[in-house]
Formats: sequence, structure tokens, C-alpha cells
Amino acid sequence: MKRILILFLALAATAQVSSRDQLYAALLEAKVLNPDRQLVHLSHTCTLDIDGGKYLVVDLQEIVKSETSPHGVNRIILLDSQWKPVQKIEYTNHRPLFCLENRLYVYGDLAIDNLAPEGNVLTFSKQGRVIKLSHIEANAYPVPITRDRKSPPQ
Amino acid sequence: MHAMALTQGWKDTVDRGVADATWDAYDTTIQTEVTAYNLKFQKSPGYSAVDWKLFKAIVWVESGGPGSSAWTGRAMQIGVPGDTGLGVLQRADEGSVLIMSKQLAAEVKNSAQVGNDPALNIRAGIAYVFTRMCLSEFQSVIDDPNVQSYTVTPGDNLSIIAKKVSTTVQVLEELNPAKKKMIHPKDVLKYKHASIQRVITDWRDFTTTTVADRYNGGGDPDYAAKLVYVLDLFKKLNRQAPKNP
Repeated sequence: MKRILILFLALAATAQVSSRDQLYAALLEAKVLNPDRQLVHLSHTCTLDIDGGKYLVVDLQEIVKSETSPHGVNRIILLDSQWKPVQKIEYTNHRPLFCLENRLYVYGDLAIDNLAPEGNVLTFSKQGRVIKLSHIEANAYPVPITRDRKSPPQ
Repeated sequence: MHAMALTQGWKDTVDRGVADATWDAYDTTIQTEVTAYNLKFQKSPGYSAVDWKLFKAIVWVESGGPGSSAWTGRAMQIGVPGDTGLGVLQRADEGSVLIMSKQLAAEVKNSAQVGNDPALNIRAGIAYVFTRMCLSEFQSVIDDPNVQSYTVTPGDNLSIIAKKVSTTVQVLEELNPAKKKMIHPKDVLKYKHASIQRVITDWRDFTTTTVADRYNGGGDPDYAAKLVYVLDLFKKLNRQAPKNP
């Protein structure tokens, strides 16, 4: 019984972001963060449930100092339960909004690797390795109004 | 979009280009490159000819003009440490292989040269903009229009046959509609040599806003306003462009 409890607590902990410092360290360790860029935004947006596993969605924005205009390197990073990067999805202004089960909703339609179709709903499968893009009207987002919900998007 | 957000210092810098013809030094390079792309993609779905002055504006915005060190090096700032653009071209990612000429694809492999040769930097930058402006898909493409035939053997399925004879399942299904669901040994199937290739299927509009998003990557919120400002400055230019330095 004690073993089961410990295992449960360990599994629950893997999907939690206890500190942005830890997240930063994990992304640095995984070489997701580039030492030549300036990190200007790092946040844990939500957690996806893909094939029964918990995956963190991290919103990352870095800039590259340039002669007169900094260039942006904005990415959605999908981390597995061990905080290893499974996906790095580049975006310009399509910031991640919320998760629902294995679906991530983003602001505006993005294309992955410049491939059609574009979409604002990213549906993940195969432990996060496969992504299918589709489009939904923003007015049809499948989330309740704040009055009716008990917790923020997971 | 308004220019009020732009700093006076930045405007003073690019305003110098109105009276100084050396700011036109790369006009020929830009015109030649953009003309070639306009010709190359004139029949590509969703493509409209692009005005070369948009790229001249990018060079002004990116480099800050002849007074900057970038002007004689990374004039379009592609290949700056930490920037992802040059790597995309070098790895032929994002469909860039469909954009670049073979010669340019070979030239961009030399990172130092892209950093030191402003004309090459501009050509690489333009190629990256075009890469980021197109949308592509993987499609079945006919490599040889001649119809061939193949006799099915035990253990075959369409996927196995496609690999055996260098075609695609899609071509086999299209040329043999009755055999889509079931094939039998000794069936004779028609096919053409084909392969799955990345194909450009659409283009984004080359507006200042879209180009700012796609080339600048959301790093500078004023980037589109800067392009608009510089494009307005061009209306005041009235001179002969000098040769490339």
C-alpha cells in the first residue's frame, strides 16, 4: 500500500511545475534554450493528457539581438513526464491558449514546418510525436465561462 | 499601424537614406533575385509577383544603412548567432529546397561567407523570406508519364508494390480503381513511376505585416511599422542607383 502511495505521488509530481527555475534548468539542460538568445518569456501554459500520459505545454519566447531589430524565436515546447522535449513548435504570434485532453488550442492558425494545413487546434497522439492540425472558430472554444468552472485549464 | 511607436533615433537613421545614394547599393542584387523568383513562381498556386522594394525596405530596416557594420556583412541579418533562418536554409528545412537555386543552396552552406558577403547575405535573406511565405504539402508526383504494368505475386499489397516499382499507392489506386480494396496473385496492375515530394500549394500575401511576422518572427513589435515607414521614404527617392560595392 505504501509503495502504491509513493508511486502515485511520484507520478503526480512529474506533471507538476513546482518552479520556473526548474523548468528553466530543464530547458537549458535539453539545449532548448540558446545561449546566444535572450529569453524574454517562459511559462507553463497547461498540461496535455496524451495516451494516458501527462505532457507539459511550455510557451517560450526568445529574441536574437540584431543591428536594429531583434528577431523572435517563439516556440511551444511539449515536455514529457520526465521533462524531456518531445516537440518544439515554432510560432510567430500564435501563442498557446489552453489544453483540453490531448488538444492544444492556440491563438490563430499556425503551420508546422510550413506544411499545410494550418490550424489553431493541435491534436497530439503517439506519445506526442504525431500532431494533427485542425481549425475551430474562436467563438466555439470548448471551455466553460469562468463562472461555471472550478479550476483553470490543465 | 502607426509610426508613432518608432523612436526618433531610428527614424533619423533611415531618413539619411533619402539624401544618400549609397543606401541604394544593393538595388541590383535585390532586383535580380526578386525578378528570378517572380519568374520561377509565376505559375505557382496563390503566387502574385512581389515588389522588390519590399526587400530593399527589409535591408534598410535590418542593417541600419551604410553607417553600420551590418551593411558590409550581414546586410539582411540572416546568420546572426542565435538566429534560426540560416540553419533552415542549410538543412533544407521548411521547404526551402523548393525556393533556392542549387547554386544558392551550395553557397549558404558556408556560414562565414554568408556573414561576410552582404550580397550573399541578402540573397539568403530573400530566400528565407520566400521560404517562410509559402505553404507546402507532401504529394504524389508523377516522375515518368509512361504507363507500365506489374503482375501481382503472393504476399503483395499496394504499399509493397509501390516500393518495388518506384511508384506511390495513390498512383496505383488511381490507375487501378477496381483493385483499390483487393488484389490477387496474377492480377496485372497499371502504374507510372512516381514519388512522394514536397510541393508548394499556396502563398501568403507579401504584405508588410505578414513579412514582418514571417521574417522577424515576432521579435520586434515595431517591425511592420518600420517597413511601412521605409517604404514611404522610398517615394522621396529620385536618383540613379550606384553599382554594388
